[in-house]
Amino acid sequence: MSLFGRKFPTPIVRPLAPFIAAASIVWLTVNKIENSAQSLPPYDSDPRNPKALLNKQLKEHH
Amino acid sequence: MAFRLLRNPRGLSATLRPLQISQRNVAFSGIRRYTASPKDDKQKVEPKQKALSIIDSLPGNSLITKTGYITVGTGLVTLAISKELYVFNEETLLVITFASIVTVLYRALKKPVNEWAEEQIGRVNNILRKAREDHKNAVQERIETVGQLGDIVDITKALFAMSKEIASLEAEAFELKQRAAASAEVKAVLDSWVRYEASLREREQKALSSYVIERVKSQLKDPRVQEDILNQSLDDLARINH
Amino acid sequence: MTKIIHIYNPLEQFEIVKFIALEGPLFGYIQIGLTNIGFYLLLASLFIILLHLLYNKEGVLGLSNTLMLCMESLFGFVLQLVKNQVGPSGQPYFPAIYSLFLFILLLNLVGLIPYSFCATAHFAFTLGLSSTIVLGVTILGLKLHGFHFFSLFVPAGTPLALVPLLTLIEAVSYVARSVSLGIRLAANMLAGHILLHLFSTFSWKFITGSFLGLLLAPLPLLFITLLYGLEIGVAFIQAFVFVLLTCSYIQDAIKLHSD
Repeated sequence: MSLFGRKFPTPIVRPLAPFIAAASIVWLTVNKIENSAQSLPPYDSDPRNPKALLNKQLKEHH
Repeated sequence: MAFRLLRNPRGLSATLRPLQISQRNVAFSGIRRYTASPKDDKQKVEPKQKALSIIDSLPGNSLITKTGYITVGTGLVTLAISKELYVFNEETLLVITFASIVTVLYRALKKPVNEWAEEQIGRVNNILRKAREDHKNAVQERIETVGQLGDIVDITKALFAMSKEIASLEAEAFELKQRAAASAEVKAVLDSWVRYEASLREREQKALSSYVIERVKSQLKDPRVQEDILNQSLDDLARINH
Repeated sequence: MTKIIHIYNPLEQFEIVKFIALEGPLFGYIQIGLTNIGFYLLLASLFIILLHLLYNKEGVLGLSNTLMLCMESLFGFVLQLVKNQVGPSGQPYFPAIYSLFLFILLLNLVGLIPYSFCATAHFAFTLGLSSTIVLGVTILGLKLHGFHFFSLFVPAGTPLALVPLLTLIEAVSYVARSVSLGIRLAANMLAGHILLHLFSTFSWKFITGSFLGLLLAPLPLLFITLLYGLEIGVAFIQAFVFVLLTCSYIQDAIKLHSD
């Protein structure tokens, strides 16, 4: 692998593939939890919630 | 007021100094009278020298730039405080303590780390130098061994000529040997012939003589011949007696 | 009349602040922003990358021989750790483990600088890291050994009657790894920082409270300095422990029942 004008003759992607997969799984899970938590009452309308405005708009729309 | 004093380390130490000095005087006043030696007085750094060493530790060349740095530094700090760019609070203590622990660690670790690094660098340098030296020696050795073969062309030419001569001589010798072998063969054949002829003649003579002897013997057996011989011998005797 | 002492909240230093944020109803609802934790993570990564890129080019960063030797000895230290813990089959994981060690060490040390931010004192960060590691190790074990990987949950020489119970206990302890690994690091760093800030707050009250306090100021300062030394040690030890445990988990996944 060549990076920054330097060669790295070490296998990186192949041995670390399980960890990359695990990182993606963790990221996706956390993202899902975050998204669902942001739209759950009573914090869906909390001013500290960055999605509060959107949630309010969605509620008004319905 | 309190943090004004704290801000300037010298202000703080100035406040503390009278206390410390008085304590020391009380504690050691009795002892000093007896143990006072010129060595102790020498070890004490004169205040002026100490002040000079503080000034020397500041960056800059002349006294003017040094005092300039101090003035600018204090001015900037004062400005930062008065404009509330920097607020003295609990975090300031952490800054002070962090700076001191870093300084302490730096001072404490600088020497051993440098020594260790020097040792490592020296070790690697030694290995490299030794390797280069070895390589040089090996090349030198090779050059010397090759240098001994400097007149190899002449020697090779001579050797080639010699080998050519040897080859021609060998060819000649072989030819002579072949010739000698051929003449030896011829001689052997001729000799065998001669031997054969000789044996053949011998056998013929033998056969002839035996045949003659046989003839004589058979003739002798004949009574007439015996008589003839007897007569002749008698004649001979008679002649002798005459 | 009770005297109210105003103490500045020692947890305030761990607050996550958004520096730049991009939020809006785009692709559902995107929230992209640079918070202070993200900033410090980026800073640490860039610093490590830069240091290693300039490692060989002498004079570019004024990298002295001593600094290069220190980096080399750090490299050798982690390499020895990986060799001892995982063995020769763990060599492919060395780059990741080395990067992890430097990353955590640098974040720990940067967090100790006053006015800065300690990313490793955040459970969100360390738990994410540790669960990624444990999940990755599990995937690695499943990839290498297939279904046989689950024999890790049954210690050798277990009576058959105890197998379900022990499997349950082992499975719980295996899952607990991912939590304990992250909590150990974050709790240590968090405790150290809270302690430092508490002591600095009390010392500040003590020093500014009275003239006697000002006279005795060196005492608490000395104490905080010593505490700082301890925290620097903890920063090194926690980075080492995190990497050591990562190594042992990888070793567990590569060789089942190593003992």
